[in-house]
Amino acid sequence: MGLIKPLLYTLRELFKRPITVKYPYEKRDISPRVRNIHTLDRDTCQHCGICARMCPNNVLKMVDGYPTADYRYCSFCGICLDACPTGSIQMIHTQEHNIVRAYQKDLYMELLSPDGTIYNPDAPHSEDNETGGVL
Amino acid sequence: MASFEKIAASPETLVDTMRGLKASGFTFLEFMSAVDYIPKNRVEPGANRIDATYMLWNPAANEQKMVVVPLSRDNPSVPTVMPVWEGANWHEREAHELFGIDIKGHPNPRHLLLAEGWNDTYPLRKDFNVDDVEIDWNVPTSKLAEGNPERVYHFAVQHPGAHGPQGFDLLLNGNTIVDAEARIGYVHRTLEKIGEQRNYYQNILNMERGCIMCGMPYIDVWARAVEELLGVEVPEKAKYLRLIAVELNRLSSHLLWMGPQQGGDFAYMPVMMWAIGDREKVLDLLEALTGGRITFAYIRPGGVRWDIPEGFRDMAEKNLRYLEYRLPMYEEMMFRQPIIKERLTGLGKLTPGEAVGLGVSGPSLRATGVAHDTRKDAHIPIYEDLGFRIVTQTGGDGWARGMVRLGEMKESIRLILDALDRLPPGNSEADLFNRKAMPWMKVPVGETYAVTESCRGRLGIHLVSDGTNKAYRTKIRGPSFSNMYAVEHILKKGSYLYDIPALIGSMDTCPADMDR
Amino acid sequence: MLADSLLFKLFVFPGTVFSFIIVLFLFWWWRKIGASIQSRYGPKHVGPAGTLQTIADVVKLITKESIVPERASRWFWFMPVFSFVLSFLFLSLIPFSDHWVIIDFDASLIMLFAVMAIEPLFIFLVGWVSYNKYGVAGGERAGIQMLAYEVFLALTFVPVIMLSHSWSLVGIVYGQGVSPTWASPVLHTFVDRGVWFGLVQPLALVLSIIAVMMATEKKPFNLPHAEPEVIYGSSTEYGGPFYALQMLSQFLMGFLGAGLITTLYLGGWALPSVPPALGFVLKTLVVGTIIIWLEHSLPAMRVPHLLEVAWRKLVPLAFLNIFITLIIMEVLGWA
Repeated sequence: MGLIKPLLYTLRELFKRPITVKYPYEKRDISPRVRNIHTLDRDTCQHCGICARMCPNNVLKMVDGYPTADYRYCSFCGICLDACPTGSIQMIHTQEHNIVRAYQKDLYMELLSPDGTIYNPDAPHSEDNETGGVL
Repeated sequence: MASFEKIAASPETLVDTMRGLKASGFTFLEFMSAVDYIPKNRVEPGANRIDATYMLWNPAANEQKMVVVPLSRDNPSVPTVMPVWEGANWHEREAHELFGIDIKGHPNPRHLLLAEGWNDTYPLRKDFNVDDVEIDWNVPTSKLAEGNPERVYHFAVQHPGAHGPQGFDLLLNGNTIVDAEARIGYVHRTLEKIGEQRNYYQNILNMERGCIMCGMPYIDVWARAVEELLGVEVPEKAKYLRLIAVELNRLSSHLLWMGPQQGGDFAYMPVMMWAIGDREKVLDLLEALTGGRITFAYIRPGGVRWDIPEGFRDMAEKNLRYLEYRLPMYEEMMFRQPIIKERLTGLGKLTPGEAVGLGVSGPSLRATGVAHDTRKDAHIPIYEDLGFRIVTQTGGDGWARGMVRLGEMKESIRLILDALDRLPPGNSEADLFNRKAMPWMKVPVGETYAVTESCRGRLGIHLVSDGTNKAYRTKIRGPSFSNMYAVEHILKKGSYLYDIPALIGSMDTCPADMDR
Repeated sequence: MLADSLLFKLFVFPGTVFSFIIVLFLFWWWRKIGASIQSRYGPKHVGPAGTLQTIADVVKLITKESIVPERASRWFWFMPVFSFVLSFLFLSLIPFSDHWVIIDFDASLIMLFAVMAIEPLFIFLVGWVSYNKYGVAGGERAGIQMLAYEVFLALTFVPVIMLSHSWSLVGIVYGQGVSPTWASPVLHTFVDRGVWFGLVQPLALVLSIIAVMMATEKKPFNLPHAEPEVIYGSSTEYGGPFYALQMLSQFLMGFLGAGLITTLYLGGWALPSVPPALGFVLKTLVVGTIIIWLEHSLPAMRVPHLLEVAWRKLVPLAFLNIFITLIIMEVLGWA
């Protein structure tokens, strides 16, 4: 007899709306605290390298005095922004999964500017990266 | 937070000392491990020895004692304490493979986490060099697979009922299990070694990888261990926010247990999907609070990283009240339903004495009627203030464990809402960090043991600091490690093939927590 | 006429083409109902409301490589085909109407029991020939399950034979036109061929739905293929086209099980102002939907629990049901 209630619950669910969010067509609101990708304000950056030193996964490396990120290993913890003495590094949230690249080497790239644009799209960042930080 | 008293013992007197301590109320062996002191260490410069460490807990008085056995580094050897504590088995195997301590009289001194063909290099020793490692992959990993590999029924890793990379090699007679041997170590990342290589602040990220379903208690206990060594008092508000974060994580973990774990064992798709759907509500709250849904990096030594966001109270009220309204339905679907009740009743029954002897903790222990919850026992003040109530059952079987988790979910919802109501004003963290000096933040020489109740049981971190910016030794007591040993113990007592998935599910073991 | 020939019946309706279409539809319907119960959408993108998803899946599975384990028996290839043939044998016995039936003779119900009794043997053999531990464990469970349901299944059909005085499936449907005199004025107004046995015997209807769910391995009784315990049971080693074939025959068996209940208890093809064969299909789909709902709402059972329920609860109920039938026949003066 205890089976009756579960059956009624499932029958009721049969006529309810699904809770699935149809992702590419509709998007849910994301909390402003979500950390999706770094931005760097080059005007205030002091080139101290504390962010690179504090990064637990060695994602950030100093190239030409500015941090660059290797997104293959980034876990988006945000410890770099805690460490930054001037607050130049920030992390913003986006609706899209925009760190998707065809090749792993393309995930090694410069940080964005605060308004989400690319600083220097043509600049090669290391020997194993020919295409530059395309976003 | 538990500070502890050290007792020295020698290998000859160890078993007798242990018997005496057990008789005097220290009934619970938390872990057996070791600390390696090479001559150039900074804790005790010049010391050249390995300390075998046995952490004991007196649940009645909530006292910790650590029995320390100093051993020579060249040929360390201790007798097994399995005659006193059955649950020491796996801990001793772990110390054997990771520190090279020879355990005399151990019934099965094989490798547990490492490959069986691993040569005589010991990863957790301080002079370990990864280049020396050679592995012979041809040695069979389990004892059962040695003689008759074709008869072994693998219930592990790729098996859809095994809940991730954990499981058993079984010898079957029809449906009856003749012998069982656990196969774990597939996600062994040597979290303890990594913890010694990152500095104290970076480790908040490292530690929450301890359990992917329940990472918040890990960083909570890490932060409290570091604070104890630093002698920092955390602001009241940070304590409340930590409680909220940990309890939210517990809710999401228990929902994940109820749906995919226990529901999945019975191929019970509706509960599985509904629980995942309702877990989204909790994850939304965690996302609003911490910015992360699975890994958070929220709690740090000194407090929490962010204060409570705008409108969080209303959101929590809405989502958690909805969850509260759904819980009776889950009770009817999962625990009052005859088919599942039949499957869970009497499943993996443990008596209170057995459970304590095996080192079982968490909901699985409370299901046997032992009212030990580290949240209360460790006198974490906020829980006392909020009138925290320990949920217990007396059955000791799978059904009782399920009901304990269900009760804990209700209790967690109440705790979170009460804590939000009584959230004190003030700073959300102590003024601890000079940002420029953060990578070089030094912690004074010392030793501590912090415990908390993770979603799976008693989680502790034994932290030895040598005065630099990195820990000298971090020993993590993962609750699933002991709980999984209990599963093996139950299977060896005689069980059936069709009971295994539900048994592993009802103990709620987490492979990441187990292997660390 | 072409439509009268046996070949047409074998290959078009109710044979190959029709059964293939109905199985594809049922697969989609099964997924949709399941998804809805689980608060999901289910297949959505291929075709209108995802109706072509199953075709896409079947095409994908057929084009995959079929891997044969090194040490498997050479019968590995034949076993899934045999069990598909078996489900076709089942199909040929079910009367879609008195015209659209491939085989009908005096004892077709007994023949049907025979086919249903062989099925678990084939499930066991499928596991055995694939040289796989999980396959053998699943096959053994198929045997256990057969012990649980076979007697009970036969007992639930006894009242129908008693009421209709016939062992032929067509005869049983005809038998549902014969009704006690008092009931006929009321019931004949909406059931053109008479009273359905399901209305006289609601307990028997419920019991036989349970029996058919056991025989066709629906959820609470899906022991031979219970994933958490024996991976995919006997079919563990079968992938690609073989898997497709097994899924199709499994869904065909499900459809036919529902069709059997329709035939025995719900008046077969009889439905007012609807062509007979269509009436049968519609009724069967309704029964099938109920079975799908039950399947998605219940967890899997434990092996001893299944045997206990079958022998301690269901078999006595089935015997009780036979006595109830006797009483009904005596009291109502059933001819």
